[in-house]
Amino acid sequence: MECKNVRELLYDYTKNETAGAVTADIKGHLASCTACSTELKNIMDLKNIFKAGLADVPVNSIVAIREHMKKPAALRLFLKPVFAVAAVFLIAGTLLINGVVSYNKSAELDDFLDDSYKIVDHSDCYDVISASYSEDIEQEVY
Amino acid sequence: MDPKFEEIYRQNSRYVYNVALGILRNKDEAEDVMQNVFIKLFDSFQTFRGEANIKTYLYRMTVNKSIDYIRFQSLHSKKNEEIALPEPEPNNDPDAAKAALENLLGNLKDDLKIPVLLSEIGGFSYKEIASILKINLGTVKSRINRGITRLKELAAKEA
Repeated sequence: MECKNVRELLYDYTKNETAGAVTADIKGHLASCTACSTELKNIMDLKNIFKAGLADVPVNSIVAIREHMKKPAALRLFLKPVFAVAAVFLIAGTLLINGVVSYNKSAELDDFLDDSYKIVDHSDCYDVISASYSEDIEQEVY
Repeated sequence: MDPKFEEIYRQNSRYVYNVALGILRNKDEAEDVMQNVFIKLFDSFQTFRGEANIKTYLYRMTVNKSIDYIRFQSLHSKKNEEIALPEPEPNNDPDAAKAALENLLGNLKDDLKIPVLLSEIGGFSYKEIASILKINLGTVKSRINRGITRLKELAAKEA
C-alpha cells in the first residue's frame, strides 16, 4: 500500500472502519513508514483535543427536565405543540359553531318578532267577504 | 425519575450537550437544546424499543434542534441588522483544550462539522451517522475525511 492510500484511510483506521485485510496492510505500512506514523499521531492528537475539550453539562440542566416530569401526563400532552395547536383549533371551532348557532337562533327570533309586529293587510279579504256578502243579499232579494 | 431514563441521561447528556455546543458555540443555547431533547425523549420514552434506537433519536434531535436554532438566529440577525446589537462578550474559558476545540470547530463549516462531531463526540460509526443525518454512507465518509483534514491543517497552524 502506498503512503497516499494509507493516509486517505488513516482516520477510518482509527475508528475501526477499515476491512480486516486493509487494516493489516495499514498496520504493516505504519510499521515501516515514519511519515505516515507522524500523520497518524496528528490524527490521534486531534482526537485527544476532542476528548479533552468536552465541556461539562451545566449543573442545573437536570432541573428543567425534572420539573417537566413532575407535570401530570395530560398537561405534558397539552404542552406538546401539535396537541396545543389542535386544542386551540378545537376551542376556536367550538366557539365559532356556538356563535353561528346562537346567531341563527337570534335571527329566527328577530324574524318571528318582525312577523308578529307586521300590520297584516286584509284588504283582499274584505273584497272577497264583501263580494260574497253582496251575492248573498242579491240572492235573498231576488 | 425513571431509572432507565436517568441512566440514558447520565450516559448521553454530556455528549448531547457537546454536540449541540459544537454546532451552536453558545453554552446557553446548547443547554436549551439538550434540555428540549431530553424532555422530548421523556415524553415519548415508552414508544422506544432498544437503546440504539434511543441514541439515534437523541442525536438526530440534537442536530435538528441545533440547526433550527441557527436558522432562527440567521432569520433574526437579518431582521436585526439595522438595530446594531452589542458585541457578544468574549468567552474566557480557562481550559486550553476547550478553547482549542472551540476555536477549531469555529473554523469548520456545518456540513463538515456535524458529521465530525457525531463521529468524535458521539462515537458513532459511519453507518450510524448516515442514519442520524439521513445522508448516504459515501457522503458521510467524504465529509468526515474533509473535516478531519481541515482540522489537522488548522491544528498545525495553531501549533
